[in-house]
Amino acid sequence: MAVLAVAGALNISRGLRLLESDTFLLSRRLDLLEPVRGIVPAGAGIGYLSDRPLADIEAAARLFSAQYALAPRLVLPWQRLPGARWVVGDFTSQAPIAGMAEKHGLRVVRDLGEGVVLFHKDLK
Amino acid sequence: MILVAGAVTFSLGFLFVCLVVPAESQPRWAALLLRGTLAVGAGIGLTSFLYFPLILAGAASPAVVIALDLAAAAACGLALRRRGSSAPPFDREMPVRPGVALPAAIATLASLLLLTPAIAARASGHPHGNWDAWSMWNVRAKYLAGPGDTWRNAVSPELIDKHSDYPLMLPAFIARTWEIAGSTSTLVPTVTGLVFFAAVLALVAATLALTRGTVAALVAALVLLANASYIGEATAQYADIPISFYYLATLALVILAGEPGTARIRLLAAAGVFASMAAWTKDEGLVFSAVCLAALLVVEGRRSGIRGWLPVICGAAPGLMIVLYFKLAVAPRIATPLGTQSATQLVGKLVDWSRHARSLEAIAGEAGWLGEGATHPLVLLGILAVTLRFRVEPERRGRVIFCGSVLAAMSAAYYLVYATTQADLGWLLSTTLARIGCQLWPAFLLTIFLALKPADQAPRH
Repeated sequence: MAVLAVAGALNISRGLRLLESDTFLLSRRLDLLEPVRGIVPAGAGIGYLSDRPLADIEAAARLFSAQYALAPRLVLPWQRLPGARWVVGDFTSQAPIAGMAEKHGLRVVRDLGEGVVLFHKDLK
Repeated sequence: MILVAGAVTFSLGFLFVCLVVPAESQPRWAALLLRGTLAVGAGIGLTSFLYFPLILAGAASPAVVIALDLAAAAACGLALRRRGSSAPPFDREMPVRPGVALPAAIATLASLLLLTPAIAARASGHPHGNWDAWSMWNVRAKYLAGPGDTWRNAVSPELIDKHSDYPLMLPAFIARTWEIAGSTSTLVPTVTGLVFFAAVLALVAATLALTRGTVAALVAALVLLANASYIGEATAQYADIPISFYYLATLALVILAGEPGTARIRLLAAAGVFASMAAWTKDEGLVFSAVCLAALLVVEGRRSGIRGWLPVICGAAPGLMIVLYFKLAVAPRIATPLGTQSATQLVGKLVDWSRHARSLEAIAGEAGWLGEGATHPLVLLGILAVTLRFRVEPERRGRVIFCGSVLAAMSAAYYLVYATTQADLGWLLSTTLARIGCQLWPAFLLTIFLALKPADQAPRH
């Protein structure tokens, strides 16, 4: 029985080494969003704009990784946080950023690359 | 500073545990291991409890957090000093046959040597944990550790997908440690998860060494280390390994309280404390604490009348009051998995045999993932059951039945949720079954090994 148990542990140790890490490219997302932490105050809420439905697992992963990267700032889909003056755009398509900003009345603060943009909604 | 936070946590837990757990019992290594492992869980649970009111009061600065933890440790130290000595030892002598113990020890060491580097590599290459760790548990910890009122984000009704109604044991402990450390290092949740995993392994071994002998302890550790699903959770940074620790600690203390000559009242009070920590960890822990405490009150009430209730109630009440305050006054109202279904809908689901068939099929499938072929932990338990046979001494029978009943009630409660859930059944089964199994596995192993005849006394074939 002891020999079988050790063989089991050996199987498990091999299996652990084969497990995929960072399936959702979290480390890359954290690096990408890091500059936002230096710009947006820690107590601020941030609206989140995406061009994909959040029911999609990858789109959900992008929202959740933004929430993780930017906490303790509260990041929510912009329609659920309409008063937010800071907005993170997270676009997977080649949507024209300037057009997106104009459509929502936003100013581009920084284009972070890979479709991620920090916007600000200025007071009129 | 992370080391300082860890040292304060362990000191508080250790002084608390010294009040209830004797150090002089035999084997001495098991008594020390029992103290050490319970100290880890107690320290984490107590510092988490203490941090919560500080958050609510807006007073959670590093200095205040450390001062409160040290004040609690000093109170435990004073109580220990006033009592003069710790609890009396467990006086049962355990036979050790080197011919059996040595191979078991070598095998356990081999398993540990095989698994430790793989777990460490997985943890360091996976610093943010699995999906729920970075999308839920550790985000909530970051909200709690933030400045001003950001803690309210952790209980925001807008974040229903983050279970913002869930109790705060794990995120509050991580936030408190981050607060002291002055950074949100991934080392904190990673090490917390690994420490709980190691504590579970050590607690199973220590409890069995004190009650069933060294060989039973080593063999139980071997079976625990053969469970692929449980090992896989060690680096997930979820609350399922911590809650499995608190289930195990509660039942272990109830078992030890029944050993002859022990400080029964103090051990039962400590069991109440650990049950309240389970309730502070996850909603499932609320069910566990209700089931376990109700069973304890019945057993102790029959034994000593209403006076028998006191230690259990005194141990559990402070923690449960914090949990209830959190649930009733702080957490958002979010529908439970049962939702807002009518009695007719619930009964309709309960008599829908296709749902039961799907659930049972998924449970059987999940059991298959615990291991492979002859190395599967259930196969190993089967081999032990056939070769050692079950034999429970009459004086221990009540406690084995107690543990078995609590685990059966928990399993039934979990199954009832699957049977009647409003959520998509397939999704719920696929995303939760493995973790639910992990929550119960160590306590299940402890109960099985309490009922198995120790290998030291097994008939030779």
